[in-house]
Amino acid sequence: MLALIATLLALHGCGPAPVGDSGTARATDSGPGAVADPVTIPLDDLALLRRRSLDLTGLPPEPDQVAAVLEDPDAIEAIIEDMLRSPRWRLRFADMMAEQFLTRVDSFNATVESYGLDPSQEYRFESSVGTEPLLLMATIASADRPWTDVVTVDWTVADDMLLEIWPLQEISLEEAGLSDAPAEGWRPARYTDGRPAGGLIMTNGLWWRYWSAPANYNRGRAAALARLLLCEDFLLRPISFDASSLLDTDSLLDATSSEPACVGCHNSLDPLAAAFYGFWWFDIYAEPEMTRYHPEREWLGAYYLGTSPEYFGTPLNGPVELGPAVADDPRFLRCTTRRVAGGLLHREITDADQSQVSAWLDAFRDADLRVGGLVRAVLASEEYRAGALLDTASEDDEVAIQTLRMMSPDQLADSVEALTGFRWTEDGFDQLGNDDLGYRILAGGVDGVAVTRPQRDPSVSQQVVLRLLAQGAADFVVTSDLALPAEERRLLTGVDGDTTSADPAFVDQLETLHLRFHGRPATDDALAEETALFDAVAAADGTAAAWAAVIALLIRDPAFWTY
Amino acid sequence: MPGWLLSGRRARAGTSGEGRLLFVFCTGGWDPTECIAPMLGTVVENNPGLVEASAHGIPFVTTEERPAVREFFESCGDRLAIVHGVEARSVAHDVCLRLMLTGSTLPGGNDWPSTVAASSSQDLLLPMVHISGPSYAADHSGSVVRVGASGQLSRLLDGSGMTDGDLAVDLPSAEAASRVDALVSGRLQAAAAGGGRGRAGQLLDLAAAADGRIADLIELGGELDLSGGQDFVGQAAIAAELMERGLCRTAMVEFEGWQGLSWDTHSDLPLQGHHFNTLMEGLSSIMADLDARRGSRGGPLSDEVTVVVLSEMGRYPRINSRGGKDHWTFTSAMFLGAGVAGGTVVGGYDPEAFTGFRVDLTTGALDDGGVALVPSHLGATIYALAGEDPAAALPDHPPIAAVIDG
Repeated sequence: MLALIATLLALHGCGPAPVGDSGTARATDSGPGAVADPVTIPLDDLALLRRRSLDLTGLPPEPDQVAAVLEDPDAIEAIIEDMLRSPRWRLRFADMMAEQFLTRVDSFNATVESYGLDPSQEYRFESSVGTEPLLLMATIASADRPWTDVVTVDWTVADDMLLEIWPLQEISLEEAGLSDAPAEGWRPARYTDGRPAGGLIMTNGLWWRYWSAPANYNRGRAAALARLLLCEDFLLRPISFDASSLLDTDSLLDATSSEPACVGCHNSLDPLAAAFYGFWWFDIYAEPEMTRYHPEREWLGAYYLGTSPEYFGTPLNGPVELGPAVADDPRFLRCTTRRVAGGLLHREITDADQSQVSAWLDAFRDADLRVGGLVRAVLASEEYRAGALLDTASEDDEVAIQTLRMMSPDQLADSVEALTGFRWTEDGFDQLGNDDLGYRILAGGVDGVAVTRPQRDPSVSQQVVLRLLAQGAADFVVTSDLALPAEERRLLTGVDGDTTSADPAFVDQLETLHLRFHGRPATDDALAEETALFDAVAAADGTAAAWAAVIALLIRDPAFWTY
Repeated sequence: MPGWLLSGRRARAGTSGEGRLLFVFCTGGWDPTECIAPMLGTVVENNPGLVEASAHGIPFVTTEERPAVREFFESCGDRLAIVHGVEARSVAHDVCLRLMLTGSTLPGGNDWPSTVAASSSQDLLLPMVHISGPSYAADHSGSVVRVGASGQLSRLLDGSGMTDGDLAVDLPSAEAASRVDALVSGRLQAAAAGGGRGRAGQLLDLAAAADGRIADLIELGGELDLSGGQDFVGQAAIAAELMERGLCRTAMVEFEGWQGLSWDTHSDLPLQGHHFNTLMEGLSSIMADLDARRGSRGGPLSDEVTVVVLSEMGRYPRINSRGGKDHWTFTSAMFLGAGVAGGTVVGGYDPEAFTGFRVDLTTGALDDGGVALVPSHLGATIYALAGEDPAAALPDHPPIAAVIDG
């Protein structure tokens, strides 16, 4: 394989710099990088393969994918199709949605102890709860089913822990209409507590994150639904009203239907909130309350809020009609388009992107609401493929077009694990997936509560995390991987413990490492630096330490953690 | 003096006259009327037993069970300014948090501490230290150094964050690590030099700059325990230490209430008393700590650091059926220490409605023709106290001059 790749590289004349040869188009009507005059230079084939691989699988491309693209640049399209069918795409989609739905938080109102589980299961408990709604979305997205299923199916996804602690019953893949399991250890399941069909909007995981205080009367849940699924944020509307008339409970409740500043939101919000009373908890910290849906409480919305359930003016005959109402709402598809495009473009999609969003939405519809159609359209866009800016780019383009991206903590953890076998855990906690004791927000992630937007820029905290991760993963490789027979190794497949830099196998191994970590061949300067590093560390600390130093360098090299 | 300071590699915050800020954020929504905003005998309902008192011209309410409250006002009231009647214009936690720290409901904003830190003209090791609490730093994340509420940064710097992990690994020798560090720096600088216009160049520049701080940070981690912040007072002490060393300009710590029981007291109003007592006890300790530390000008550090105490919202004036209070869009804020006109109270609340009165920004007095306070006025005041131009960032919201000494 190595020889083949080297030959192809030579034939292709592929250089290391991610620079292409033709300009891309510029937005002239709205949004950066949309259409018309060129403002960007696209990535070269290998850089584009690496970007798409990291965005669709969370991992760098495999060597055989690199070879295929070098042999035929058009092969990248078939590779994308493979990626979109792979289980990795499902996990990556869930991670991408996690940054926007913010369900992976470090604590919920119920704890692992609430269920009598061993405290060592805390991380898994929190992760499973937060992942349920995300993986349900990802399963629909990757199963070639229409996106509207996300809010209408009568099943969810669950792992062993959720199946044990929640009123869930596993169902077959056939019954769920799936061809394979949602993820390792996860399977389709159906709640057995009488909750209506509604997919995502009937999951415990979503409403444990967006719970409602008693005095909030489920308005928080209604606002969360509108924000997350419709991109309609009631809470972004500033309010100003005469508070002097609101000093007793009756007048306060009346204000939501009489005070002009309140009515604007509450005439939509309250009837929507009334649809969530099956999730009403009389004690917001009681595990029995939180665990089950309560069909017998669905009528309480009318009692507490004085209104029957409605969906933006359309009466609902119970919460069973909520999912179909969302599915029929054109804002749902447009919002999905914005969220998926934002996740792939690594920026906030705004009203200025209206024309581009409309074009992507058309592609979404043309694909019969399959998310794959939307994703393909975004991946093909000029903005997505941009690797540099032309002089014609505006100041807005400079800010908005992500010509280079930084790996998220998820991508970093998954990529390092895929390459080295090392996963950074402590007491069972994924250290790049939590903030109680871990380093998620230090590495640029979100904690879902206090830090709610991913960090797009490097910081000293992020660099310190990267440094220690690289050191740990590199040592793990040489102490575990290198100890295995060569044919069983994951990474250092071409050398032994006594290989020196003078051996031909040494340079071959270095070049292979570059392809694995950076998705492109090494430069002569890089090989020379790494050889000198190897020799110096080997002389002082031995060959294993020398390989660890080289691997740590490759992980910390910006060619690895940016794309 | 620590050895690395002698290297002169970096500027020290404070030496340029740039103000420094320590933010204490009381997450959940405090009830100002339970302590800093006396409203007895008005429409506002309170816990029983509250009595009015004052110190240094600042009125407050307390009980005998809250001794730290009186002690705080008596010891620190001459350096304290309180602003009342700030309208968040929302009653949702997420939105109010964003409003109180950025002045805007829009996502993607930058909070006051990160903006001030990023405005520094000096090359600081830790421009803003985020230890705990909310953080909005869309454009300034390169200026924000996250320490972690559990001292995570410390464990990264000493390596225990890795060696205590579930998989047994050894860290490289110092020499090997140093060699790798040097090569990484070279590659980052080379990449940054070729980064070009736009985000690629910006990202690589920031990476190179961040990498350039790591060696100093590791050295600092060897000298200073960054893991001691088990509560907001301990976390503030870390921030104060960093400010004393001239390494950071702003810091954020969170106080989640007595025993972490949250200020969001929908069902247990008496908790507000415990929260305020603990808050005031902590603020007294923080000020004593700042007093004991030496500032860059030779005087106490408290002459150079302003403590800003905020919460995202207030609480509804009436007690609900569960013995708590729900959310309210009007709230108060406290400024303490450097640059603050001590013994000052700005604004107030309508006793019939518990809404904020308009104020004269210059005098702080109630003024029907004055300004209705919103979070951006607090932001402008924060910028002014830091020595930054408030008009540049918030042209429509002048600072509350009455809060600012001189």
